[in-house]
Amino acid sequence: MSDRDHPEHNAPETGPALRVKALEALLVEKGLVDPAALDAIVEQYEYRVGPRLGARVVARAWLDAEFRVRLLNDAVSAIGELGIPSGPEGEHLMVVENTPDAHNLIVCTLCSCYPWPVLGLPPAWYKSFAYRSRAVADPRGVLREFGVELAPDVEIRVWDSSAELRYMVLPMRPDGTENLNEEQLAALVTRDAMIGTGVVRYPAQTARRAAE
Amino acid sequence: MKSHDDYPANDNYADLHAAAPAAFAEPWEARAFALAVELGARGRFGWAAFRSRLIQEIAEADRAGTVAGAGHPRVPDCAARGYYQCWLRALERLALDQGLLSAAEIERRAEAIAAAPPARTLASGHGPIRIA
Repeated sequence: MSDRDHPEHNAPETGPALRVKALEALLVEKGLVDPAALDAIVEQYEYRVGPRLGARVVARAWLDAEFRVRLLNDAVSAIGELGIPSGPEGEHLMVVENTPDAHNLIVCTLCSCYPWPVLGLPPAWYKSFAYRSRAVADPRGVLREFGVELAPDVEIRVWDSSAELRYMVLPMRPDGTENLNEEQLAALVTRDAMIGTGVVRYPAQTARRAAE
Repeated sequence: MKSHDDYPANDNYADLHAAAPAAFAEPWEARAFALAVELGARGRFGWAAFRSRLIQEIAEADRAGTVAGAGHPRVPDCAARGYYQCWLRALERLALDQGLLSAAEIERRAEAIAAAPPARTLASGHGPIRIA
């Protein structure tokens, strides 16, 4: 959003930008919203909340077996233990665990429900018609497009997020990470791995990707 | 705007968030997002009521083909450019349904803002552009 600091100063507002401005002005005048609260919400979701929070949760679950059990049984309180606040789209959260036999994939077929408190706001592709429809119709094909090739005997479980319940995937801990600490483990965990469109790899593939 | 491919598959901990694609493509999207979240947080409407309107708007956009847009390297047709337009329409409809605003006052205010764009420097409180 680099153009926030450089709006087209003198251009008349049009389209959705004008519409939003009118709505905000009216709602502020009526005392229904507080502009400072709006600023805080924008800042929170642009800069503070993001998948690094979910990565911390995953790393802790890999290291602490009891935490993992609590996380799978009652995700909201387990995540609260780490000081990660709940919030809108986070009141009802379920963590689903990948195993050698089952891979989980999350989608919101109707709109864009997503576990905001642990992953931030969803990426554009998550909200797209293509993903919402194909994740259900052809999950194996979608995973392949994301570079995830699963053995044919691995079951894929597709979870449809809703207002009632949202999901986060607990990915499998990669081999060879026995000596890594929590922070190092968290660094391996990608957003896609927590949606289920990725898996956690070790060593990291940064070099290979950079060469592509 | 960054695409999914710009997101590091595996990078260091700090970069994981820093390199995440921008949450909002344009400032108005962030504003529309915050308005709905704030109204919901203040109990002006229930989140389920907002979501049901968002679902309707998205279904309409899907049918009209405005959400499924330009290609994506790995998942085709997923530009989702229309998403926050759907969000905004859902917000406006709910504000009307709940009696928070009237259609007439929204029109009037939009016309007034369009007719009087904000002054460039004085109103926005910036300092001089140059002192020679």
